[in-house]
Amino acid sequence: MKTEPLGVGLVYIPGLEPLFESPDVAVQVLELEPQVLWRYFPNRDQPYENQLEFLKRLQALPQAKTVHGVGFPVGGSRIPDPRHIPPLREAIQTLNAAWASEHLVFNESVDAQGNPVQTGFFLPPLAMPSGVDAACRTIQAVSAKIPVPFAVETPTNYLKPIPGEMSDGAFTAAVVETADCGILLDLHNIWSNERNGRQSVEAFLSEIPLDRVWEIHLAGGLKYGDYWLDAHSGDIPRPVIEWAQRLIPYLPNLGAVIYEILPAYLPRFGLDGVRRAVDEMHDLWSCRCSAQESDNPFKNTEPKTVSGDNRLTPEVWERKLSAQILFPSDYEDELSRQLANDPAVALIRELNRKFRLSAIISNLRMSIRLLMLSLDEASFDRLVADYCVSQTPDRFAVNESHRFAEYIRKLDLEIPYLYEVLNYEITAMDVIADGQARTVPFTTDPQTLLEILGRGELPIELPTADYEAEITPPEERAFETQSLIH
Amino acid sequence: MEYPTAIALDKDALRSNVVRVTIPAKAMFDLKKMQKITESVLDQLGCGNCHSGHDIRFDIEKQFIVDEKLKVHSQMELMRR
Repeated sequence: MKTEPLGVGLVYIPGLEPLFESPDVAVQVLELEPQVLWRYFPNRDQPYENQLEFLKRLQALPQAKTVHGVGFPVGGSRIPDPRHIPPLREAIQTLNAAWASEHLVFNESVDAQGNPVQTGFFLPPLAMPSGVDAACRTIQAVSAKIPVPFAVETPTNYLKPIPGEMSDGAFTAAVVETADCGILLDLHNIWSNERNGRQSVEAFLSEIPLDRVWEIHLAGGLKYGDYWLDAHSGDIPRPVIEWAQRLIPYLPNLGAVIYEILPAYLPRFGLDGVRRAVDEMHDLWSCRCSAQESDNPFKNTEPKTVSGDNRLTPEVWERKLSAQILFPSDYEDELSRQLANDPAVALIRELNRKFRLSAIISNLRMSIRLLMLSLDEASFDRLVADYCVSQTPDRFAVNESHRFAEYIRKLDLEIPYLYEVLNYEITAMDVIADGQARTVPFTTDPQTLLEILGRGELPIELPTADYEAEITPPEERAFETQSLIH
Repeated sequence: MEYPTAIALDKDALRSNVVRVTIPAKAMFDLKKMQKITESVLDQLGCGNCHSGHDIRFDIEKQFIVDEKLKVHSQMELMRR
């Protein structure tokens, strides 16, 4: 399949508006992760809702658009909630996206009792022929229902290879050929995998069908203990740039090169840093289609893996890997022991905990701050650890925050003002979701209370009075800035 | 990105014992002090951007609290001298 060459671009995150509005249009593509902006209303038949007015503002920008899913990956055996398809289609159609993509991983499974659970972290699918079949069924269930071509993203995998599994490149190739879809090649992921002891970049590239690579993702990462993390944290490592330089001339259907950064790293890296990455990508884009020969130039010098225990099904793999992350003591079989001995499992548990807490912080910052100021560090850490094992993760920050609030309410802690601050922040989430003002009570002046917490201080014995605070909806000001980059 | 942080006093409310005020859904009191983070309500409730790396929003918050506690502690030490 031929894709339209769109150019270089950025995944949209709040804060990048000046680069998308810059008159030189150095950023040619805007990639949207629609689920990041979804509102979630659990009691509705259709619980997922786009911020449609905002999508229309994105559409009005001069960039070409692509859509990249981050909530309902397609690498596992479970078909993602079909209710996510209509808002995904709506986002694609509103933006007039050229193509859509999702991750070749899974983030849902079942617990030992067969109840569905979310893993909170992208986990690698079973890289065996049965895993190929499962991923293809899932990909086709989604791709058949969307109105544009569909690609899958090559993931990071921190685990050690298990006996008998296919190489990462062979697995990717088998999936995309069978499902007949494109490849979103995340070069930073592939390079991270090599650094973390998996297949080399060269061997991976030698095994995939290069004509199916429609899009490249580039990003920065960081060293964390013994691992290199796909952190989306800033500068693209030099070796990743060099791999892109070698690879891009051999990609006849490359449509876009996209840079990714997480919002939390943007203030440190700065818009100038992102702009440097855009310039680097323009240099790479200029190498496109310059190779004289069309054969894959990369060589696999690594020993071929032999297919092993094919009795392992994707369902069992997903259940046991999820259990190691969420309920480590649930299984005691050989595979579970093998996974438990892989240091990557402990790493994923820790990263998962940080993702969950970060989602909670984004909604319940003042409540968490009050907890941290009131409890000693060991008590706070115990509380967080207990929450994380007693409640399974949720992909939506709003749900994770509600669950944490419910957990804190049940503890009935004697911390002055905690429950009224928590009530304010939980109610504020509803106000943000539907734009309707709501009222909450306070036993002291909320402005004084919140200002004290804002300074990172503990509020002590504030004057008591009955307050009724109306929480007003925010005015989002994205894409109204006049400060342009020249 | 700036958000309103002022709390407006509803003067009519003074007629009763309950003080009625308005506060924004996104209180930005803290973020003026924490220059390290950008916040937007656009992506506050949805899925995270990437779930295979390292989200540092909690670490930033924890460091802020540790720093503030140390500051308060050192001020108290100074006052004792």
